[in-house]
Amino acid sequence: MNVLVVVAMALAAISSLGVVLSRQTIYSALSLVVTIAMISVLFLLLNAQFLFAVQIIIYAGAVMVLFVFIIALLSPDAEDRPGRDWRAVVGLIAVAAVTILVFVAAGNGVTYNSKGFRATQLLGSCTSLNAGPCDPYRTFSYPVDATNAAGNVQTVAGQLFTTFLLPFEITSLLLLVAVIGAVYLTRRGVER
Amino acid sequence: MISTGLFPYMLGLSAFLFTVGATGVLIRRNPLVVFMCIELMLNAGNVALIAYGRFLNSVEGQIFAFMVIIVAAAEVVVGLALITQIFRLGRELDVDDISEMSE
Amino acid sequence: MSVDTASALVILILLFPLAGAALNAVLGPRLGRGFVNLAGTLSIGAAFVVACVILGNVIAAPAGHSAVSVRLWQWLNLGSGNLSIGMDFTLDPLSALMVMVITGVGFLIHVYSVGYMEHDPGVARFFAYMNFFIFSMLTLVLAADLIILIVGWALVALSSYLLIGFWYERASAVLAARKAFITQVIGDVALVIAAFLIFLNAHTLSLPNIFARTAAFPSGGILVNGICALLAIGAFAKSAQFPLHTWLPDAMEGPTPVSALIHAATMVTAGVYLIARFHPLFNLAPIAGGMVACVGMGTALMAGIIALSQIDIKRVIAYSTMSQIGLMIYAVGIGAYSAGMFHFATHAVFKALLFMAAGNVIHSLHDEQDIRLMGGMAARMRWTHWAFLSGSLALAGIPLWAGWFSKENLLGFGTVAGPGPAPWLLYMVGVGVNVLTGLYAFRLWATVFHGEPQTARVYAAKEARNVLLVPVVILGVLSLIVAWPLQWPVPNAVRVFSDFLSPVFAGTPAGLASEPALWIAIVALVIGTLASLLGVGAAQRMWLHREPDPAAVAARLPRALPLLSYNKFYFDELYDAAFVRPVRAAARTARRVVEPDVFDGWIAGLTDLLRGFSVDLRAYQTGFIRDYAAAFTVGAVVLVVVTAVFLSR
Repeated sequence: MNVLVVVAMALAAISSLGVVLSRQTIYSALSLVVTIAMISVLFLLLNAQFLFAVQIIIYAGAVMVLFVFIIALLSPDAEDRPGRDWRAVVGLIAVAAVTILVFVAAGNGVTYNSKGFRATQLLGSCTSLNAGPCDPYRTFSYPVDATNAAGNVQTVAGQLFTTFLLPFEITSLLLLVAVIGAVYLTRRGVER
Repeated sequence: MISTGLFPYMLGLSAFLFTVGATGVLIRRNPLVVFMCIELMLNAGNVALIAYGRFLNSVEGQIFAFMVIIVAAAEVVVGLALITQIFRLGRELDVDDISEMSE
Repeated sequence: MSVDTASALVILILLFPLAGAALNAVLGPRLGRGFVNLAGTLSIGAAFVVACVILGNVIAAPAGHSAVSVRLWQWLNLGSGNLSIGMDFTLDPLSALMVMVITGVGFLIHVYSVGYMEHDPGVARFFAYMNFFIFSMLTLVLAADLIILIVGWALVALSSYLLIGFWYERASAVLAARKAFITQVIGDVALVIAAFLIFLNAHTLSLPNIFARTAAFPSGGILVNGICALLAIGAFAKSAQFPLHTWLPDAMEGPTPVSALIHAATMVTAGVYLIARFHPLFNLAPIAGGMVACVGMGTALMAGIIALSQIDIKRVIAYSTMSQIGLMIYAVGIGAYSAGMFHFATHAVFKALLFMAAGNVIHSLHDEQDIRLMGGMAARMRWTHWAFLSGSLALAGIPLWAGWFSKENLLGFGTVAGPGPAPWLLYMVGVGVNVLTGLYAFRLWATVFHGEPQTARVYAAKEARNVLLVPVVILGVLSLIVAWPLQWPVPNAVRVFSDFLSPVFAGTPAGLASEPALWIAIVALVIGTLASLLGVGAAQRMWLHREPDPAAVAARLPRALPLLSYNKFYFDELYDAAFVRPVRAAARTARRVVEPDVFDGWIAGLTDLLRGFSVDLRAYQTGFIRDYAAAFTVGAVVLVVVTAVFLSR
């Protein structure tokens, strides 16, 4: 199980680099598709089956297709060298710093509760952060997934249509607005 | 090192994807690629959400990620429409060229 | 005199001149010359009537109650023990005397002005200013509160400025007015500081209360000497004494009635009045009194020397005024207050007369003031000549004329008291001043009225008209007889005047409360009279009969003396070099260097700094989307770092 996770994560990371560093636009798009696929595998491995499907269908299936179409339409053989200036340096520093920091912080049990960001105090005798007195969160490794006991789709649907009904309806409104906006923005024959 | 499972690596991946996307926004000049990097950042956020949802035994992470996907889709539609229109006006597909917010 | 009567009288006497001034200012230009003449003179005439009533009331008051203070209304009251100022006025013998002289002589001068200013287009303005001056002067002498006195003091200075600069198209007049005002401001500062010190120690500004609390001022201490010295400086500025005397000769730029009223009879004597009024303090301050006496006598001598060589008729009389006031200041300095006031009264009469007669001469010669171009006026202006002669005799102190009575009275006291171990020193100088007075007075008389006419204008001169002549003649008669019923310079003779003022000056040191011993007084009288006669006789010989020729005499003197005399001892040049030039240079430097470089530069530097900030900040607004994205990224990274490293403690 862990091997799959590691592989998915590694591929996601590598293909994200491909998105950014590819010279040709179309290659960036294809790399992004790979990244999305790997991420959806991660979702699956994290017991979020519904999101796995949604990610494939919407992101890789609709959004990226749209991207590829537009690339083909506008500039199929567009080339765009990644810039090498001070901004690239800023980006590199950001990648290194943030990644390391987040990793280390997560590893040391940094959590955010009502008192803000706090490093939880660990007992000196702790060797593992599993359930018990050494647990800064409730548990640090994958716990038993009691939430999805009834099946992931049912659980998600149950919450989506009850507790989160309002955001759900608003997203439908959002989609309507997006459609209208897209249609309006791409009218022909209007002088701007 | 304390045995922590793979949760920190999840967050680390999220951070990595996010910052790579941010770097892409900084260094690429084709607006379409910039847009794709923005999508990358959104996905990174989704990874973090799902990971936390799993660890805190809460389904809210997945629901929030769902909303993010929807919003990303809507945003892509509108954004690509804009880029198409810019292209139709005869401008180059170069963010430096579209930078008209200076005084 | 009851308080109600007193209040009514005070209100009336202040109201009439003020109303006259207001009417002339507002309605005068519209209603014409006739109205202005009438309003201007009648207001002072009415004030004179009120002054007579005041005098009558004061004389008739029972002993011990001759001083009545009234408060017309309250101005400021900060609680007991603190500042409480009201419109306080006092009617006592001293203020009654001042009021009589001011309004009486003032009335005659106003009548005279009707004729003098008959061709001047600004006559409404003139009478408005003159009436306002009378009002301010009355406020000053009637004031029973130090603040009101200072207000009157300042208003008098203002009036003098307005009147000296009456012909404002003339640059010299404006400059003279400015000089007078600035010099008097110096005195004002000293006066105000003295007021502060008085208040700090006596905790009141009401004059009767101040004088009742003289215990608050340790006798002879540095405090009371300092206060009196400051008061004296204020008096010197107003009375044109050394070193603040340079404004008086220049003030002759004003019309002759102004010179007669302000610079002979009233304003310049305000200093004498001030010292006399504050006599309880001066009695405690012998050092200051000595300083005052020395300055007074010194100025008298200096002015006498200068008057000998001046060639402008009005300037000679101006220096004569300075000299005589020096004598008055000397008198109040040594403590002979009523002697000083007596000389003030007689001096007002004959000096106003001299000025007005000189004005007649000037007028008939069509504004000629150089005495070298006059001569032989006696045959052409008989009445003016006799009046002028009467005034000159009074001035020189010839027996039987008023000046003799007052000057010998004054000098008699000089034998008894004076600063330092030897009162005789200043007395001898006073005798010398008598000689000088005779000299210059009769030099003037002889040069103007006798001898050969020096220009053609003289031949065409005619006697002045009645309106100009009558006041002159009246004063000419007065300068003969006014002293006869009042005060004789011999002890135990007529003492009406000093008895009248004695309730005011009770408490004066015993040595001066009575007069000198009989034989000393007679000896002093004889010496003084002989000195005056000597001066007059010498003048007659030199200028009337021309032997020796004054030019030859002047040539024989060491060169320095005539030069010093003619150039007024170079005081104007001295002050110019010591004060005016440095201040001007400083102002120039401020304008050329300090203001552009320091102030403007500083402010400009500040704005440049801010502009620099703004320009530098603007560099961030490149408009490049990628630059903005980079900024976001940097900000986000910083936030994450701070959160992870610092906030998770």
